[in-house]
Amino acid sequence: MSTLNLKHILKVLIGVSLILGFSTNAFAVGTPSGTQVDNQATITFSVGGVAQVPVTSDDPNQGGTNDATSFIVDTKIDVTVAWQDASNVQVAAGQDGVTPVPNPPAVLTFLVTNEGNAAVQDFQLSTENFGGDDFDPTAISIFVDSNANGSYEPGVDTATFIDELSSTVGTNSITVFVVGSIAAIQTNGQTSDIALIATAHDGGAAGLGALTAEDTGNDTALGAPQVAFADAAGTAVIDIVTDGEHSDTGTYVVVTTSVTVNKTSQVTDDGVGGTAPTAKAIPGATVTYTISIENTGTQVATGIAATDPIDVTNLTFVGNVTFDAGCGGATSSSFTSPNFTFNVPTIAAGATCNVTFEVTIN
Amino acid sequence: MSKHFLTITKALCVFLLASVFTMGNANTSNAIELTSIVELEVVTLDEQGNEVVKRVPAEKVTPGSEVIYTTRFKYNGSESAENVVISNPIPEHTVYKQGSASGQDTEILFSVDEGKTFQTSSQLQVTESDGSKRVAVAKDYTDIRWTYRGQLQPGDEGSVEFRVVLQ
Repeated sequence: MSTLNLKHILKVLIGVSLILGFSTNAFAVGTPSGTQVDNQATITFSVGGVAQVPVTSDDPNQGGTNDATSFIVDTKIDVTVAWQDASNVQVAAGQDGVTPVPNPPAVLTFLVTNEGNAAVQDFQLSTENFGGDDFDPTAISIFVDSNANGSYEPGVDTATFIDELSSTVGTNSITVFVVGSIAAIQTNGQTSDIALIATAHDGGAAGLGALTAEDTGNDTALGAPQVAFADAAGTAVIDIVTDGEHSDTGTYVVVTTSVTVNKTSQVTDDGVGGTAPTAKAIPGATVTYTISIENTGTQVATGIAATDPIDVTNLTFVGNVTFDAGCGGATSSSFTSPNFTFNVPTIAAGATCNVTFEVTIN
Repeated sequence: MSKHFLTITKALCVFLLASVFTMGNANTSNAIELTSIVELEVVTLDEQGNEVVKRVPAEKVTPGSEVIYTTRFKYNGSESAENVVISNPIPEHTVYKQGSASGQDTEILFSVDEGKTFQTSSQLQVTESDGSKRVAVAKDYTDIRWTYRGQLQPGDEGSVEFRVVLQ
């Protein structure tokens, strides 16, 4: 054999081993299930100053004469669930994601990570309501962040279980949303704790695989990989250590907005030359009413509607309605004798919305 | 392409033949019996409720498991043997557990370059990609070597061991 050929073979062999090393070891969370790990010791010695043929070790538990000492890496089932919201998720009483508009979904965000060594794993998702908190949502749905953008989109994120979650670092996590309906009777400051539980199911095919079972029988070192649970205990009561599932708790806190309303009046034009503040309240004078609505809560107030009955015996509604910058959204007003009615879509937390209208004295 | 393939096939055949030949030699001489086993440590409770650590065959091994390799040798020669050295690469997918190598009457050295050079653990250094050097840690080790102090007499036997953690 020529030297050239030898060099070429060496190159080819090195290339192959590099590729193998890359594909099996570079990115997995742990050594992939089913990997055979071999070990062999070598002893060298001399007798009478003459080096003897080195002897390689044998595994006495196997039938051959120079067997490597080997085991097959078994299947580790490990999953973590971690609540992602930085603080308790503020919700409004009556927030159910449906009516009245705007009524965004009440969403808790979790991250589920496959820490096992099977190539892919499915996870069933469920929730646990705790005793000891103030209330439970009237309905709970769970959705997977199908497009992996980190935010819940109704109608887009529709999957209710995790299918084929990889164990490769970088692609072994997925966001899951718990969407609750908050009853209208809830009051300010009440909290609700919800645990999301991810339970390992067999991966490898589309759809939710069978519940993954731990192998408890006798294994052999070189037998097919067996399943071992390695998950920690989570926050759900039913979630204990090494049970093939993990959980974490997220919390809703109800924040109701309270508003205070003040009404003031001022004669702005008495029709005989006097203007505010010296104008006189005489028949024919124009009076401007100001209704001030202050949002004293910590949440934006939405859908504010108010009705102010006018004393039509003594006053005539004129209008010239104004809304100041504290009144958010597309405001509107109407007068149907004797009621002056107006709508303000939003008032920011801490803001005051001033509405004015004019009447004349009969 | 086919020519290369043929060449490689030939080379592999030669290699395999050579291996069989070497093994045959080693086994027929049988001057030293060398066995290696792999085990796990499990903690069980005895009847008094005390924790008992026992070794079992490495059957259920998953990432993070610590396994113990024990290599036993028995010298069957008729004259004393010298320059007795046992070497063992750290198995693929595993990381050496610092301080776990042991062996009576042996000097234990480690390598970070796949057995080209060996040093004591405190002297081992690794050259970083920027050329700077640092003390090697267990993760860097590629091989372990036990050098037997003195000579092996006919019938002598002993063992060495080390632990690794499966990645």
